[in-house]
Amino acid sequence: MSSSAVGVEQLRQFPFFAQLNEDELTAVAGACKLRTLATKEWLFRTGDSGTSAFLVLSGRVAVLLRAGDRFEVLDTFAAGSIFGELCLIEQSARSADVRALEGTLLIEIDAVDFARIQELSPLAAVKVIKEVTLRICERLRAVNQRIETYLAGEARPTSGSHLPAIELTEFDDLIAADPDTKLSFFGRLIARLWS
Amino acid sequence: MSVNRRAALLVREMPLFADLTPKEVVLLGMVLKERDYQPGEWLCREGEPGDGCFFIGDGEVEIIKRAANQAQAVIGRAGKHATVGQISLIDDGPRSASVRAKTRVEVLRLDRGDFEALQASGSQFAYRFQLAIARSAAAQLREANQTLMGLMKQRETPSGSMQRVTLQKVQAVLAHTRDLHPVPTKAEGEA
Repeated sequence: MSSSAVGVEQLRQFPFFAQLNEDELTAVAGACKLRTLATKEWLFRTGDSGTSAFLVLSGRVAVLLRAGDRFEVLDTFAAGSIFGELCLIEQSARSADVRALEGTLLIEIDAVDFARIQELSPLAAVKVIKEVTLRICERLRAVNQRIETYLAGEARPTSGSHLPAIELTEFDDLIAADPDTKLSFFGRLIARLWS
Repeated sequence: MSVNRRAALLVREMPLFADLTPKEVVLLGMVLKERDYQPGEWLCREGEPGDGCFFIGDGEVEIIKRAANQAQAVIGRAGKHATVGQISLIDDGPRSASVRAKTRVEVLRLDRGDFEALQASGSQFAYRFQLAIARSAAAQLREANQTLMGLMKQRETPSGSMQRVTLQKVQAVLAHTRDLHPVPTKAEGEA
């Protein structure tokens, strides 16, 4: 793991920052640092205090939920993804483990550093929080849609609703084979709650 | 624009706005519109454009969704100090549910125009306000997730897998999950 400065150009790659101008991106970059993870390196574990959001520049990470000596894969995040962004609005304990599936380069936005940029550029901070809020609303509408389906009594159990437990040793092979088939809506839901 | 003393007092009472300075509380009190609703009165209707959100000063409202068969189902309740209607204010979409007063309700309404003006002001107040709105949306998401997980679990139990989810069960899940919060941790300390 190493850390160094993040450039405006790197932030510009993410649609998440599309509303920010040059000066605002510069302000945000001040709260960012680069993180590199080696294959299988843990980014954080369940119960760690969640104080940062992460943007994936390259590589891929998996969100894992430990069940005894097994892991369930809840989600994977590849280049262009953002996760843990709820930490920018309120800090809570991590509800899952996150580990690199390959060599991964991340931008880390520390919540405390982020809170400071609002003194420098309140508009940049407002725009970022607005984007976080939009993502929350997007999920909320999706969840509400599901609730509505259940209320209408038309829901069929989704094929992936019973997540298969994965032996720790089998995990990497499974992911390498086909990550997406191991993910269910239910798993994503939990992951998105407080990832 | 004059200071609405009662509105400012309500704002000051709300945990959502605990981070605001006294000056900001007064400012918000000037912008928010106070209104009382009688039991049975609609605050907003599903499908309408979202032209504002509501902060509940006192009383209780019901969150109501139309199911596919046009029947109405109460999917949640919100009471004193809750925020409702903020989703469509933020994402500009139609109202995702209707809100109806269950008791006499005292609300502070924030209009879209005022919300957008505040956002564009680029002030620290705008930041803190946006943060408060984000937190209220996150709280709603947690609650909706709990509701959905409760519904899914019911579906997955062998005896209940085929049975329709009744309104009473949904309400029981909601009542149970309302007080659930994430485990707070200290921002500093753990490296």
